Amino acid sequence: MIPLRRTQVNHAIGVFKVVLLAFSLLAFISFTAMPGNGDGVYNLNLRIMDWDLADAVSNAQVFINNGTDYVKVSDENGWANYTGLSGLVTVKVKYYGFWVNGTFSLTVSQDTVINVRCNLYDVTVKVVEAMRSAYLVGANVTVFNATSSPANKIESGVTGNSGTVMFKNLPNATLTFTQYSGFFYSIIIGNETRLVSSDNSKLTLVSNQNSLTVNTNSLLIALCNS
Amino acid sequence: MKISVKKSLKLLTLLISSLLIASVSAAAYVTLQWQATATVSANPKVCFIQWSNEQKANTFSYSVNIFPSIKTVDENVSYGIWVDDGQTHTVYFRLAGHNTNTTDIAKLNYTIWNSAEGQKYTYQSTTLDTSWSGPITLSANTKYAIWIEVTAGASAGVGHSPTLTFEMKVVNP
Repeated sequence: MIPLRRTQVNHAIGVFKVVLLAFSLLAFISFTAMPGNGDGVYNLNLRIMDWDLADAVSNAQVFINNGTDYVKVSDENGWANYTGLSGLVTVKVKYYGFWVNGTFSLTVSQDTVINVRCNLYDVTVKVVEAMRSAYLVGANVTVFNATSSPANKIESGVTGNSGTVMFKNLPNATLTFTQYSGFFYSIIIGNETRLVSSDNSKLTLVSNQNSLTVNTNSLLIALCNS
Repeated sequence: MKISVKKSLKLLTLLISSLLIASVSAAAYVTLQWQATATVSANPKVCFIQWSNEQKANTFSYSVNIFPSIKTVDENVSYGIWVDDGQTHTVYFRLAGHNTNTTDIAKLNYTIWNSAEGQKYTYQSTTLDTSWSGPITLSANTKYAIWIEVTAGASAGVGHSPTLTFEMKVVNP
């Protein structure tokens, strides 16, 4: 047997390294070129957003259908993430029982990220009393998706110095607005159902229950200093 | 019939005293009548004005609903104050009285104001203080609005009707 010279061994090792590197590179290229997770399916990441795309919305029910129905609830950052999808997918979003984004379709042919703009509107509510439309400071306003029971509550707020309170991301629907006063807001002073139909809209609610009526008399006294 | 001079003198003194007391009482009554007449005289140059029809008034009534624990704010009540004169006038304000449970009204504020001069006078009280304000000088030919804030107590009685009486005193009307 002819002994190998040192240079020949080094050459062989070098060739082996090059071949190994080539195979590694080929494997990497093959893996990344492979769609989705490697078997022709992809990720679909939906971020549920309000109408002005300012807020990500959590706790929305996100329904998709890709031959099969899937339902997820958006997380605290608004994400509903799906895997293993391919082809035509339909999406719709429900929030507090109301459809806030009707069904739309998309074709998933690669990993996809979409902001889903929903009919969720910011609304400024002003609370006034019935006799003079004087506004109320410190009134609790609670919005419900049906009757005013705790299970139906969407959001609460307290009117500030201008008698107004702002609600963010209310669903496009007819909602119940109940106004409260007293200890722990235990006294109902008004209750109305109103349609929330556009972003940055303004609603005036009239409190007309459980009031006191203040009557004032103002007199003029004219004095002659002589 | 025997007439006692001493007794007659006593009776005479009593009669004169009675007449004096009666005349003093009459004088006091006349004074009060004069003040009353001054109060109800025709609209002075400083008076209330009803915004809806620009009519002058010496009195007005106003009502508003309030709710427990809540502040009700009316930035411009239905009447204001009008200085219908080419010179300034001095006025005084007070809450003259009230008929309300102490738990019904926790705080009362009212402000005399207009957009040009801002707040001219502000009353704030949690005890419904009835003392007169200091002198307030109102500008000539100027109208002022009345801003009222009533905060009901947490235990305010729903259905109650507290009554407040305000007075504005005008010097040299």
